[in-house]
Amino acid sequence: MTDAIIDVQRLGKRYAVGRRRPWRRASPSAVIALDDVSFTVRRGECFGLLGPNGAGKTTLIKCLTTLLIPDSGTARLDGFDVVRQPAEVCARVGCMLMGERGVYWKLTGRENLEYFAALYFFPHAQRRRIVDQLVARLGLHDFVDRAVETYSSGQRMRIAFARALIHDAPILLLDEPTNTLDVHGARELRALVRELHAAGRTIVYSTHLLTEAEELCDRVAIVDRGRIAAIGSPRELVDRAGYHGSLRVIGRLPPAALAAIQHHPAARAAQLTPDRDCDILTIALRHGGADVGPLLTAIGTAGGEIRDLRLDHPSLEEVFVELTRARPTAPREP
Amino acid sequence: MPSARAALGVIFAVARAHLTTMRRYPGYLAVDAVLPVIVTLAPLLIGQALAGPGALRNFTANTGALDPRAYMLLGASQLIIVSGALWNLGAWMRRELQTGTLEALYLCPAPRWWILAGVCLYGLCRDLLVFLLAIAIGGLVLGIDLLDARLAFAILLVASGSLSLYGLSLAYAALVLRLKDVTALTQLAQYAVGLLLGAFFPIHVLPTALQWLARAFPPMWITQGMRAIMLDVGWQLGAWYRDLAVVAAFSLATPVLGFLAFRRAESEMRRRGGVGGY
Repeated sequence: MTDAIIDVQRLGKRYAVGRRRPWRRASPSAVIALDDVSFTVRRGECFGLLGPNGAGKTTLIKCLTTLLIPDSGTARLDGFDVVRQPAEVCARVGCMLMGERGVYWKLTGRENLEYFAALYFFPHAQRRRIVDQLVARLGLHDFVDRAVETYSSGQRMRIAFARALIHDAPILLLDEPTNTLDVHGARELRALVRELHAAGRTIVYSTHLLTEAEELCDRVAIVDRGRIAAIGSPRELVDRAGYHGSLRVIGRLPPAALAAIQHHPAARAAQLTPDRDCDILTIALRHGGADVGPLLTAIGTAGGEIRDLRLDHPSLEEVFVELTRARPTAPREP
Repeated sequence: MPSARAALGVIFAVARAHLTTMRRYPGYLAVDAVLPVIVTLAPLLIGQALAGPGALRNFTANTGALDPRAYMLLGASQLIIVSGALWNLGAWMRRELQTGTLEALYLCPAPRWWILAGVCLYGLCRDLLVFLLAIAIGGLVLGIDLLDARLAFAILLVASGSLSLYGLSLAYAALVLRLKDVTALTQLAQYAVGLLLGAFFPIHVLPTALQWLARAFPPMWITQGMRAIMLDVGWQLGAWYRDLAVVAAFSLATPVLGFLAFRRAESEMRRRGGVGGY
C-alpha cells in the first residue's frame, strides 16, 4: 500500500514473567503481549485501536512510539523504522500516552510547553510563538500561567494534549485521551481531534469507549489477546458480523406473539420477558429497520397489544463484545 | 543529527527548567546551604569533649591543618555537594519515573545524553552555589574567613572534578533504571561516602583496606585537593599536578563507565517495557 504512513508487519512481543535466576537453566515463562500483528494506517486516516484491558493495545502503542523494542517484526512510521531510527520516528509522532501524567507539576503550563518545545529542537525565540499559538488554539489562557499542581484533572489533560501538538507532527497517537475529562471537556477534545483529522493529520486513537471510535475513526482494529481480531470501518465490522440491530416491543404480548416472531423470516432471534404490567419482546433483526413493519403486523395478528417500541441500531459494541467475549487467559500489559 | 546549537538549546532548557523549580522553592537550597554548618558542629563538639592537652597539636600533626573549624567545614560542605551530585541523576530519574515525565522525555527526539547533561549542568550550578553559601554562612557562624583568592581555585577543582562525580551518578541512574527503587541502598551508600571521602579526618587514619577503597573513590581526591588549596595541608601524592592527574583520569574514566552502564540499563528497560513503570 503506497499511501500507508504506518506500516506494521508481523510485530511480536513477549514479556518474561518472574525473574531469571542465573542458577536455573530454564528461562522464566513468557506472556505473549503481541502475536504476529500486521496492519497499515493510511495517510490522513483516523485509526481506532480497541480492545479490552490487557489485550495488547498499550504494548502496541509503546512499540510504535519507540518506548518498547519489539521481539520480532517491523513497524515503520512515515517510512522510519521504530527500532533503527527512533529519533526520526519521535520527530514525526505527537503522543499523548499517559493522560494527565507526563507534565511537570512545579512548572506552569506555559513553562512545560516551552520546555518540551526545546526538546523538539525549536530555537528559543520560536518556542514562545509556538506556545502562544497552541494556547490560543486550545483555549488555555485561563490557566496556562499557573503552576500545573493547581490545575484540575481536565486542565492537566489539555496541557498534555497541547504537548502532543507542539511539533506539528504528521502522526498523532492518542491513548484514551478523554479518560479523565468531564463531558464538556471530552466533547471539546473530540471536536479538536475531528478538526486535526479534517486538516489531514493521521491519528491513531486508542480508546475503550466504542461510541468515540464510531464517532471519530475511519477504521478501527479490535485487538484481543495480542492479535488483531478484526479490522475495518465501524460500519464494515458491523455488517461483516451480520448484526442489523434489534427491536424492543413493550406491551401485552401473548406467547402466540413470540411464536409468530420466532418463525418470522425478518427475525434472527426473539426473547420474551413476561412482566405483570408489560411484557418485553426483544427481536434481533435480520435485515435492519425495514423489517419493523412486517414484524409489528405479525405481533398484532397474533393478538399482541403494543404500547411502546424502540429500535436499536446495530453498533460496534455488539461486534466488540462478540469478538472479545471468551477470554480464558489475558496477556499482561506492562 | 541535530546541530551543536540545538544540543546547547536542549541542555540549557533542561537546566533552566530545574533552576526555575529551585527558584520557586528556595527552602530546599537554604537547607542544603545550612546543612554543612550543622554537620560541621558535631565533630567539632566531639573533638572539644574528647580534647586534652596538646589536642590541636595532634590534630595538626595528623591532618596538616592549623584550624579544625576550616578543615571540618570544607569536609562537610564537600560531603553535601558529593552526596547531591552522586545521587543527582538517579534521584532525577526516579522522580521522572514516578511522575510519568520520563516517558514523555523518551517520546522526544532529543538524545537522552543532552537531557542528562542539562540535569548535570543544573546540579553543578546548584552545588557550587551551595558550596559558596556554606562557606559564607559557616564562616560567619564559626568565626573563620575562607573567602579569599584560593577559593576560586578550589571552585575550579570542584567544577572540573564534578565530571567524575557525574560519571558515577550516571552509573547510579542506571541502577535506578534496573531496580526502580534504591532508597535503602542509597541510605547505606551515603554513610560509606562520608567515610571514604575523609570528610572529617584524613584517610590515612582509615583501616588499610578502606584507605585503598577511598583512593579509588574520585570525590576523596577532590576533597583533599580542595583542602590542599585552601588550608595548605599538602597533596595526597606530594605535588599538585600528580593529584590533578588522578582527578583528570577519573574524569575521563567514570563518565565512560557510567555511559556504558546507563546505555545497557536503558536498552534492557526498553526491551522489558519499563519506561513508564515505577
